[in-house]
Amino acid sequence: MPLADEIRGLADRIVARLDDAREFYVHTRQAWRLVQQLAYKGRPIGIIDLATRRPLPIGDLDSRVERYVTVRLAESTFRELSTLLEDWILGLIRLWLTAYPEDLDLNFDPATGQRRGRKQEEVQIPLSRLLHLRDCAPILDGLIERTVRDLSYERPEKWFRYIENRVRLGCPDRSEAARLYEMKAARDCLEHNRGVINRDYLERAGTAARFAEGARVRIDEPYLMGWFALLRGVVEAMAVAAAGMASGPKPARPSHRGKSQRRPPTP
Amino acid sequence: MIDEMTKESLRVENDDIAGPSLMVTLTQLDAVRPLLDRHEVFYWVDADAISLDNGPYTTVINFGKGGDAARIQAILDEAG
Repeated sequence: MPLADEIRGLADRIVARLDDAREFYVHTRQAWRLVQQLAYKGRPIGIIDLATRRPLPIGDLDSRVERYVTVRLAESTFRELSTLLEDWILGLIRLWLTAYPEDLDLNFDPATGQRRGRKQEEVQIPLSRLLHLRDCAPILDGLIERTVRDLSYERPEKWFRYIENRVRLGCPDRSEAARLYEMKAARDCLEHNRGVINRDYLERAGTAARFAEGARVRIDEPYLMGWFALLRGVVEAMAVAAAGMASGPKPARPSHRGKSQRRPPTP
Repeated sequence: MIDEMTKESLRVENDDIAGPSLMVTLTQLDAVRPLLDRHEVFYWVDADAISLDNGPYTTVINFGKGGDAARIQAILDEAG
């Protein structure tokens, strides 16, 4: 399949998952609000444990709705959005490198078949994984997977720089990129620091930081809905730009030795 | 089999992603389970049952992604 179609297909799948996650959030909130209204109107509700056939206490179900909806549901949905961002960016890098494996090494000059200067990119891959392979394609696949896996542990700033050094998409813009960095920093705070804001968050979120050190990450609905819109817009814009470039002849590589004119902002 | 709540035939609901499911009252659950077991149908039942407005307690039988909605419906229909 042509690279442009592969990119479009990836973007469509990501957008479909975004829509699915949004619907799950909205419908689950609506279902919980319905429960809240039933309780508020005094409609008799009974719940029994099927194993014992004994009634379960439901007295505090109503009081838990607010916590479930505004904290648990919102946070779990937010985590999923962060995963979608990662799947999109790293998926795009994987597709690009598969089509243009020479971009694995920015110092390799496809025109001469030689590397420029003395500097070279290095990717470590166990020899045992190469010895049974008979041709170059599986070796390149292994290198690409290794590269993408290594990138997955890096910050989004590095993901975007990695792309920009190979193909200048011109998106996301500075403001969008800053919000994306803040999102990943907030997600990592929820995942690794019980949602308490630390210095790592402040450093990574940079100018887009929303909380002070020691505060707790809060995922309110306007913020969450803003995220759905931002991610959809970023995926669509990057997909159009990347697919457009992939449709024509291989674009010239952007300058990458510290002379890049348009880099994602440093947080 | 007749749905105690609607007085119509029990209807297996199907979802493309989650697979088939069946909502039943507790008395019907006791009748449906042996039927499904006899036909070696894979399923699991929600851990609790809910009653609204003092109606009968209902629960859900889940058949999973691999569930065959048409086969399960046929088994229920044959049981009368």
